Amino acid sequence: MAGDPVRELMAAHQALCEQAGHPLEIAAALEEAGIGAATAGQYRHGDVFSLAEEMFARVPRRAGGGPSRADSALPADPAAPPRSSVARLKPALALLGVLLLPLADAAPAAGPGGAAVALVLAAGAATGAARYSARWVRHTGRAQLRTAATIADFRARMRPVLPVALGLYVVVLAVASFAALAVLTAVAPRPGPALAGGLLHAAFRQAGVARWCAQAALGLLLGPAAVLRCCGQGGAALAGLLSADALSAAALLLRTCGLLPGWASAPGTATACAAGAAAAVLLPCAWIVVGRPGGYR
Amino acid sequence: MRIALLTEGTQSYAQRAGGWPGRLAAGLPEHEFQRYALLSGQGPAPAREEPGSHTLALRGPRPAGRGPGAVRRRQYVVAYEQLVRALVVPRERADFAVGLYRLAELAREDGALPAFLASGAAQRVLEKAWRSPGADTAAGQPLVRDVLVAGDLLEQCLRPLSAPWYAGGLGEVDLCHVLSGGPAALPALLAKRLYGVPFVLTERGLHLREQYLGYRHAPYRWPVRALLLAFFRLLTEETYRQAAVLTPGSAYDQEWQRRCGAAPERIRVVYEGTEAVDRPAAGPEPEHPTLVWAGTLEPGSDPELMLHAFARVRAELPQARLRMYGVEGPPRYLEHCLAVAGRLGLSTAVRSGEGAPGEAEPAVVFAGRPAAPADAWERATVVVFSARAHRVPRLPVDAMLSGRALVATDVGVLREVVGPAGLVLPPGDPQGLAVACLALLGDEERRSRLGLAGRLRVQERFAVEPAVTAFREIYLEVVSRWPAFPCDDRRAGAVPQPFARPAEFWVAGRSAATPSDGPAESGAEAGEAVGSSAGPGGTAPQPRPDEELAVAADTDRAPAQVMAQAL
Repeated sequence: MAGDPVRELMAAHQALCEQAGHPLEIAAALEEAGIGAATAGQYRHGDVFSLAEEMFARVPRRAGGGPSRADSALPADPAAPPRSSVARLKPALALLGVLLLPLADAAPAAGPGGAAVALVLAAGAATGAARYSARWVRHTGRAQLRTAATIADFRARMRPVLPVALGLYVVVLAVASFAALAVLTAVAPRPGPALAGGLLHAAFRQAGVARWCAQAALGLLLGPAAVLRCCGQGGAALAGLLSADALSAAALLLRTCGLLPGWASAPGTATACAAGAAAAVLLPCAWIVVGRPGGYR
Repeated sequence: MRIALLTEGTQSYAQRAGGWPGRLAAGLPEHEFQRYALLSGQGPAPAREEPGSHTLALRGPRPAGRGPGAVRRRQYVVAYEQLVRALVVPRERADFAVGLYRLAELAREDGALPAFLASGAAQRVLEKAWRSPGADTAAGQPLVRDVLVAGDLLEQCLRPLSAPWYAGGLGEVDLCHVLSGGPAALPALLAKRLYGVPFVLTERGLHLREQYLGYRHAPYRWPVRALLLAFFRLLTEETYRQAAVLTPGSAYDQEWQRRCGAAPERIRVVYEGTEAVDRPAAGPEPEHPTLVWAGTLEPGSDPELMLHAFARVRAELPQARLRMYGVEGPPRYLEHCLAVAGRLGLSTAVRSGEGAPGEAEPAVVFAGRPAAPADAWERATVVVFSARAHRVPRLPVDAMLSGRALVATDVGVLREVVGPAGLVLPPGDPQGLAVACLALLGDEERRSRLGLAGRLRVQERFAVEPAVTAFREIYLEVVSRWPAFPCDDRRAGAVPQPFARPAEFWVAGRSAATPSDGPAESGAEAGEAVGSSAGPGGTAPQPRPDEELAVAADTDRAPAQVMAQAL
């Protein structure tokens, strides 16, 4: 005490001095601890400020245990307003519109066939998988956000996440479609001679190539839309779905007026084109948004 | 004069009609007050704004709006980078004000600042500056989440820059009066920068010091804490540099302001006036000798010291009682205090009113929050403040107004509030505190003498009237020293120049003048002199200066001629 009265004080406030960014921070804390102008004299200083300056100079800054609660210090996105029921209804309606597209896009005379209904049911069942994979993307993003050092580092870590999530969803969608078509084949086989190749092949043949393309395009549209919605870009997702609806409505209108060439009149073509065009915009969007750290809050 | 009162506070504070801004406005009816409030509470925005008052939420959802376009974004990036580098690179500290004002100028033009600060571009700027060589990251490197959190916090702090208050609002007042440091001073800084409006800064409890203490318990990692505290410190320094007059609420705060770079000649201590000065003194003393302790139950207020001292008092004076008023600060601290009292062998009770009639009175009663502060002092023989830190004078002032004698530790504001009208002793000394309490409890004559002296002391210093008078003088002084500003020069970027106009200008040059331009005090005086001798306006009883000037201008004579007639 006699030689160096400040040493004891430094030991008592070790963590404070190591973590302080400025002498005034130490001064404020010292005053809070009862060392004021009256007691600074014991430490051979005129006031608490010069005492704090000495302590700031003598204790080196050290990276140390900040508050352990810091792990949870990701504040809620300040831009997110509370959702009203109308705001929730809009995406649901848009989603329904996109899902029901193949029904409208049937052969002009025959009406929606059994294959179209089966594919719509399969896509509807697979939306659960889309939501799940989008949640997985968000969960992974949050986990990486806790530990990533820089934005570039974060983006590099997130690079494989979107392909994996979309791949899983598309696989589930394909399996569901196959299953639905297989059930359809078993219940109501196509008229005509039974083809070689068994049930699988028959199921595949239930829907034409155009319909399969339409189903794939729908998958590539709904997957990124779900991811965008989970990453706080609900507006972009909604715009994508609505534009797919509008595009396909326009295509059907043109077809009814007879303005489309003959190849485009096959059932499923309009859906494939409309959903494909919207997906071509939403996919890069989702790719960018997934790599951005701001969306995971 | 038109005076803009800038406050920062919670919802209820801004909406309350009373409070310190209300008292000030009521005490100075000759001036026209406009209120600008930053709301830092979490509550919803007010349903409607009162006329003459404007509010802006500092917390909560980001204000809606689009980000800047590609060209403007480049300018935003440059300004933001300058600001951020000033916060994290020690040798670029001096650029803080430059970056701040550039950002403010951009934000005022298109209001795209909040959206920009939330964008990826701003995050990249922040990260680049933070990880650049020379940045002060000795105690921790910033991670991505720190960039996000710090960006959000900066966005909230900088919201006043894009408030729609400047053109037509703060640009046309004569004086700004900032009633809290920190973000509330931003609009005043800008009004000064853009329109040359001077401002007075009043701080009751230093904003910067509160931030230093508050951020120690904030759930942020070190880099975020350091960045935000650097922001508050640099903002405070800039505010102190630009303020025309600083009026801290105590000499204790004055010392802090000087340490933060305020020029001593511009600091004037103005104690906060309290309406409680008209309250009658407390009635007769209680039957048993009772010590009353008041404050929040937290380590800083040191109720433990009080308990230790009281155990010694009780050993000498077995009929002594202790009542502890105050709500719990940290959770379970009351339990801790009860345990300490139990270890000291003191019987305790937690209740707000009287105990049952037949029951033995316990030695220590934790009484919670009193219905009114006066009730607490009413039950006291001697009032004790045992704090380790005391930053605001309100509570001891209230206690002294009751006319009870005070024992206080020598920390913070307590020494200057209590002065010679009470016993002041070093903190953390239970034996000394016990001796002081015993000395007062055993000497009724001394007690009443000290109590009366204390009451007179605070009645003189903490009345509303002296504070209002002080501000009346400060307003006039600031405005008279400030270069008079003709209204047509009041546009963004114009630099006020004293003596840029000849005296005649003030007499006749304002035909298209807007009503009473306060800074033209000297001009108004000149107009009066002219009007009384040369113009018909002088015959009207107490005419407003602007009417006189209009009359002087309407006479359509050359200014020199008017002056000649006046002479």
